[in-house]
Amino acid sequence: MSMKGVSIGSLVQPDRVHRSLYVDPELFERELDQIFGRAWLYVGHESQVPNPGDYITTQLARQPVIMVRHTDGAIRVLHNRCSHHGSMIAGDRCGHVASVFTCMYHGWTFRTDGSLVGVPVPEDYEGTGFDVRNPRNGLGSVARVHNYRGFVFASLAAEGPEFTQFAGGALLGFDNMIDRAPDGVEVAGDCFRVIQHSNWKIFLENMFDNVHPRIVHQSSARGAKTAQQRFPAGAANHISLETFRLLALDQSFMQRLEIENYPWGHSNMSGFVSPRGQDAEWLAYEAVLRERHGEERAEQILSRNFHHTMIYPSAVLQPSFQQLRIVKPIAVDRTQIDIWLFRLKGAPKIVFRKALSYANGANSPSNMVSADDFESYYRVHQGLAGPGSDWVILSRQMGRDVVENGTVRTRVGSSEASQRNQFQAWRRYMIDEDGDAR
Amino acid sequence: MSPAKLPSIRVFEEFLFRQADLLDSRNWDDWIALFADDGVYWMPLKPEQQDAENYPSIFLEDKALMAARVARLRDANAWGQQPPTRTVHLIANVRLDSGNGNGDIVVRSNFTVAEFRRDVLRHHAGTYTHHLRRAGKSFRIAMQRVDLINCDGVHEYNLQVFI
Ligand code: FES
Ligand SMILES: [Fe+2]
Repeated sequence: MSMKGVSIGSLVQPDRVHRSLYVDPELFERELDQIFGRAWLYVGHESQVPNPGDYITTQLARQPVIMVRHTDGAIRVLHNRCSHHGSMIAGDRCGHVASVFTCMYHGWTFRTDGSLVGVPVPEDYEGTGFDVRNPRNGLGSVARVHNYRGFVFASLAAEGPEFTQFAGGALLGFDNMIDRAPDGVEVAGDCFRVIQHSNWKIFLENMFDNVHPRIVHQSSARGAKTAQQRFPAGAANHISLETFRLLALDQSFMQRLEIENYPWGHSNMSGFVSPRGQDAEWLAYEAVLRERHGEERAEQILSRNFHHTMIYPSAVLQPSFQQLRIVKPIAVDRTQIDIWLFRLKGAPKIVFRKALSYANGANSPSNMVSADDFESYYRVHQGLAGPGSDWVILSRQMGRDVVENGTVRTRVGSSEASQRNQFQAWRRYMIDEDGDAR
Repeated sequence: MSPAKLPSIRVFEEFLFRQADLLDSRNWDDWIALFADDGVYWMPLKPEQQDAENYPSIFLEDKALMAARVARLRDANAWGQQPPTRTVHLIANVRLDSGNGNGDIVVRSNFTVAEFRRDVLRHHAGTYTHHLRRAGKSFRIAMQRVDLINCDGVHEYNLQVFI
């Protein structure tokens, strides 16, 4: 099968991809079906719904959903769509229902597992063939849900690899963040929500691009240096500034980073700034971790520093600073990112202070680093919209990465192995075994 | 300090207008100088947010962070400022609030800010809460709290400049 006379499979080559992947609205719709409609997508964290009846709403691909804790204590992910005439059941981003959801349109009611409780005038349906007394005529549920150590993922497709097999090596990053918490993790407040005026893939590629920082972020790095010189005492409180400063060091600094890439497009990248400190408060935290996990295991957790962990195509975690960025493609040139901050329960305040500095400074809607990242995403998108030249080149370190049991490990940080790996996954989602478009 | 001893509201209006004018004219060094050494520019993520230590904020900047932002805005290679952002502030409904207990004077006002960059004009609106500390004949800002009415909404564009 072909699209406008070109086979989709040929748009992704080992070392380059066609510009239409970023700008073609028809391909975008296919991605929503074939990638976001089948992959395991991040839904929410269990700490957002601590009690039965608590819920949050979000969107998976085109599907509005409710993540709710049912009376049995389990978390359900329901379609946010009334089984009568389709109205969204929950209109807020979060809330609580005492016993049932009531649809605001004609008053049908549903339990928190989606089952139908009742409708206002049941006689209307007598003899019509639609049974309003059957609880199964309630809200739909997403096909598959997996609660991974508190992080709830869902797949809109009934078929496909199960979650842990799908996520593979990317779970190392999630485990690392969770293991850093003496008493588990919880969401800290609401998320930041920002729009990028560019295709969603440009963002995910950028997460593992270690050549752009010294070019794109040179102004932030110089800004951070200025602040550190003029206000040394104040600047010392902000790990965000130290991170910005490091962004524009010599390229050899970034070359030391390691990226591991897994089937289905996922990646882990090592960190270049560590939250570890030598002050008493931080050392007290490390002591708590040693108490929980034992000397050796605690050291393993603390010394494993991931900058980015990605579960393609929806989640990019920063384990060492407890932030999670969720990708929501809105249109071919419009991407929403929800950015969540987590608290490591049982850890001294210093741990959260560093995470908060990083969140406010490097992930908020006002952060100066992404001001320049978003500008580059926008310019890339605009450049690719022009039909004049077709290909995007992804051949940095091509052929020099180490491949072992399906894992691709880079030799130097500048390798575009992750980007190549993301597009191989893209291709696998989008075409079938015969090379035809799905 | 009893309200009777406070200067007329006109004095506070002039202070706020000057603050806004310094931002609109990109005169950030003088703007930062309006702040006390321990002054903070805070834009909460949530309406009514009281706690900046345990929850995220859109801006939470002391002078060090302000200086970093300003140095970037002025940098010849701040790509996100090519083209640069222009703003116009309108400040109204200036009124005195009860003090904050530290002896600071608390002034509230409403603002709208028009922001223009690369062919896109957008509007911000919200409330300022200024905690002002007396310094000679004038004041220093101990806290400039900026509550956008859409603080917890989806942000269409990065906020590069101070509102
Ligand atoms: S649409 Fe929900 S009750 Fe009619
Ligand atoms: Fe970047």
